[in-house]
Amino acid sequence: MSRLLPDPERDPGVGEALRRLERARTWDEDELSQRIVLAARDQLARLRTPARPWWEWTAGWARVAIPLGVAASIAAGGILVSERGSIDPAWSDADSLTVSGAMLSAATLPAGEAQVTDQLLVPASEEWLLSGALGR
Amino acid sequence: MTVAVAIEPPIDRDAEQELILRVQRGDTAAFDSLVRGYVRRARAIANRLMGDPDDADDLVQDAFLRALQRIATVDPTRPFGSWFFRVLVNAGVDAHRRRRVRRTEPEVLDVPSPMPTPADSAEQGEIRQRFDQALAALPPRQRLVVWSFEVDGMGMKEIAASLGVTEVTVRWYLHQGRRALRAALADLRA
Repeated sequence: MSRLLPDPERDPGVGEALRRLERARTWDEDELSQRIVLAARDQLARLRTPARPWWEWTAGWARVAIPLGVAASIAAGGILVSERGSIDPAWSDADSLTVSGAMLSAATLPAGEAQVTDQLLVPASEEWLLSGALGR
Repeated sequence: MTVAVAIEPPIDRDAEQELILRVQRGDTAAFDSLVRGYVRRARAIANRLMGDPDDADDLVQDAFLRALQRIATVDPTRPFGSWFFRVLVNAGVDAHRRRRVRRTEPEVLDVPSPMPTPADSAEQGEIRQRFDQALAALPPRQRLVVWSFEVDGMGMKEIAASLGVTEVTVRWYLHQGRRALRAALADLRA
């Protein structure tokens, strides 16, 4: 629609009033240009050293990350081995036998709830001590 | 002396293309040439948008820095000027909005008055002030449209392209802007 319409007539009064506003201005573009170029210094420097693609970034870090990872794995392995060596095997076996024996008797004894509890945890009363002593 | 505002590109197209490619690689000298090529026109537009010379200079600087931020996306084969002036106008509209939020009192264009002539009466001074106020009260894009049409002699299509809006919008801005300014000038004409 607008292509069919000619441009409106210019208004000499408005035009002259606007021109009058610009007449008294002084223009020093040189100073402003220098100011802009100075402000753009950092941005221009960044353009000179563009951001690397991700694979280059990864490759750069890999040089440090891979040896670090290998060293950490070796250290972790060493710690595990030394820790295992420091555990008393006799104590460990006896302990595990006690636990598994209690579990086994708790599972196999045809007993009530109290007995199961006695086997696994703590006896409900001191009778066990008395019966044990008399039994001997 | 009327401030001449170049409408055509101030830099040769081939030279401009080369400059943009160099700026994309961070060449400071090329950026300096690009700035010097467009700073005059940019300052004229910024003055019209902002009304204050210091604000206008800040706007020009801001627009060049914004343009530099996006320079990697610029197609060097396309005219830099039309893209850059859109960046400038958008930055100006943003700055104007921020300034209007800060200031609540009506702004007055900070333009030095020309030397008084014998014909300058107190009444004419008052009317001129009213005209300045009416101009300052216009939304920045409207103000720019009136200025580009009445002073620079640009056509509807050209203004629309430079602002990135439709010709219909430009006609509406011109109509609204001139109506306000004519009302302020009515007493002067009478």
